[in-house]
Amino acid sequence: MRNPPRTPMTTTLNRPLTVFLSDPVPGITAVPHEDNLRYFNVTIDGPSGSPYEGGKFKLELFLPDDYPMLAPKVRFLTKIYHPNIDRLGRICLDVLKANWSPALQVRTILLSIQALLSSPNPDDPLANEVAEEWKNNEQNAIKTAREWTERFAQ
Amino acid sequence: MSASEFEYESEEEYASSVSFDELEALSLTDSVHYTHKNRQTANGLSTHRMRYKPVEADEIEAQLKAHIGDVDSILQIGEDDCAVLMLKYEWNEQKLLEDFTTKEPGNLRRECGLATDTAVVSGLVETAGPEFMCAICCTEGPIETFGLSWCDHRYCVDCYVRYVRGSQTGLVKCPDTACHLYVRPGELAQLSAIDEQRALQKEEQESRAQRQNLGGPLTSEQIMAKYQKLASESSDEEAAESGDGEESADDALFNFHERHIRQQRLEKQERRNKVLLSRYWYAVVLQYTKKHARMFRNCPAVDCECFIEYRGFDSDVMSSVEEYVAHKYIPIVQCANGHRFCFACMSEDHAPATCAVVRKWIQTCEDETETSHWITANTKDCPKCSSPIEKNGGCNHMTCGECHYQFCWICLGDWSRHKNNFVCTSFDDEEAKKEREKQETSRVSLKKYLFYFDLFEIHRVSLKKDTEFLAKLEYKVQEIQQRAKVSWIEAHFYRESIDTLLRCRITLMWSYALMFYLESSKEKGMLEKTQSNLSNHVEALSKLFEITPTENVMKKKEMFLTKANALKTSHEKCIEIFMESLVLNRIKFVSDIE
Repeated sequence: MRNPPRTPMTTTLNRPLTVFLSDPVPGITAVPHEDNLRYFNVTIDGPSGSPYEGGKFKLELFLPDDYPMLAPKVRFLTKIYHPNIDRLGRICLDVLKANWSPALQVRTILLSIQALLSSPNPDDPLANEVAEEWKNNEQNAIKTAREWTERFAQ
Repeated sequence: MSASEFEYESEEEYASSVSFDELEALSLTDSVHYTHKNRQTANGLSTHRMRYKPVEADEIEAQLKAHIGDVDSILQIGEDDCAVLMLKYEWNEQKLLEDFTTKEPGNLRRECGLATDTAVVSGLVETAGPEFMCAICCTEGPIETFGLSWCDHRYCVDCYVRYVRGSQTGLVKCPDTACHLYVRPGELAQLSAIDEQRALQKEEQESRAQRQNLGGPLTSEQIMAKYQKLASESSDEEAAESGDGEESADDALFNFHERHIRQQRLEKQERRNKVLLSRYWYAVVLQYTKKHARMFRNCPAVDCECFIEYRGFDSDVMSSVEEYVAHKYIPIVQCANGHRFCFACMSEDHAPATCAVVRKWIQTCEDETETSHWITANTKDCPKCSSPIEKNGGCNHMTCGECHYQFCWICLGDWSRHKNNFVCTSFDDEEAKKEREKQETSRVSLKKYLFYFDLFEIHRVSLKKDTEFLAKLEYKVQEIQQRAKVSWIEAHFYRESIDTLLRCRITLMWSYALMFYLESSKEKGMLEKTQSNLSNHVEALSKLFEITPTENVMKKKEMFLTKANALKTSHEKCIEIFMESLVLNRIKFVSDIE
């Protein structure tokens, strides 16, 4: 079957973004790139109570042509010690893959990522070594995560 | 109609029992085809034929709908719900009926994305007030919205349409992540209807706006749109007016026939792309045929939406396609659009080469094994350290660059034995003999490969050229009609001839690939004769297509017909002979091909 027609930027993309940008979420910023409005520089503050507290994590977010029918592409740019985020910054999160729905907004996605920082899920890992450490020696893993936050996410 | 009804006793009996109308209806709705023409070959050998039926997507769609209706007559839950259940159970009727009786109905419905409480929450299409905001595009009301009857998740119609369009399966979930409901076909029909209606309205609005805007200068986009519209209108007019005016009655007949077929096909395709509901059903059909891959094959040709339904064999000896292929039969089928392909390996027509030969041949052509063949044929290994050496001068006194061993290029023996003269004297040396034998075999095999590869390649290139020619054929046929002032039916031979030519070229091409893997024997010699016979006929017909100017083509019509017929006969015979040899295992393959 042929691809669905490309959606014009003006209608389906601009409005949700204006809504999103005009009503920011505390602890999360998203700034569109000057040359490309589909590309965002995102920062997420490490949630309090987690080993990432006090860190400021940089991410990049890209809205593909077929957004919102396809999920946005998100990646961590800051190094992070987390069982569901690999060395390239790729994130293992169901709403970014199979469970994506066009009714989800960029805001919900970023909030889900923030929630993922609060509650790592070593049972569905992307970074296997980290996940193993998390399962076998949680104290040590949390300590490493805190060290990495201090070293890389300031 | 069951297959057994085809095995009638005598021609008369069959003809008298079925009226002409019935016969026509039969051939249109339930014609069963065979992979090859005759059950018995010319030599009286009986073969096994695979039965198949070319079907189109809408036929399967109708079948599926009937199937859903049947199941619903048992379950009594409404065809819409039943359709979702069947999709969820991947058409496994028995499992569904079993679960339906054993499982708690609420659980079953929840698992399958149907509401347990079937009270209608909201209408399908409603205009929402200003307080509404579509959660997908954030457009604020008042706006027309769509939502399933059992949940209150509503989105604007445009977003919903785009959402359903984007999904590739028959199971489309409500866009809300927490909602487990599936869109049912009945609901989708509503959405599809309103989408069509809106598209029509939009078109009208645009044309109205254009009429109003006529005063001002047009933007480039408007000009483009106008041009496309005028172009399509003018072609429509042509089609409508083809019966009168400058065109002759014969031309009209030709155009009518051609255009009718083409238009039907285009309309069907366009409908599938445009109308949400038919797109949805095509996805369902695809899912069904993939699930029943043993029974159905989707035609591999680009943009072809036809299917082939497998109908067993005309003998009880064969039980599956795998077995059939293992017996070196080649199940070539032809879809409703005339594309020929292999039912087993899904590649284009490759008779008389078996699927295994095709796989191996393609691999051989791609593989680097042939490069290494070149190395073995053009270089010699140093007898001491085995580095490959290519001769770079006339002198036969070789010194290995790696280990500095000195040897003779001719006998591969130690150079010390040649000391006194530069003439090779130890050619009969035992060790040297062995080395040379090794070289010999690889050289023969390379030669053989290149020989068949060249032949294969020549026909492949010709085939490509002829296919390009075919693309321009319609123009050419029309030119013949106009210049020679004949009707399309009289010029039809031209098209038929090139079709025959193309098929024979494919056969020839693959026969060379097959030959490469055959051990030389008396039987192979016979096959080669058949092959060269076919090749002669192909060249004879091919030559006719070079006739210019066009006026002369009609004068040679008889030549075309005789040559094409001769080629056809020769082709059928060739296929038959190859099949006989393969199926009866009368020829041996050189290397073990699976």
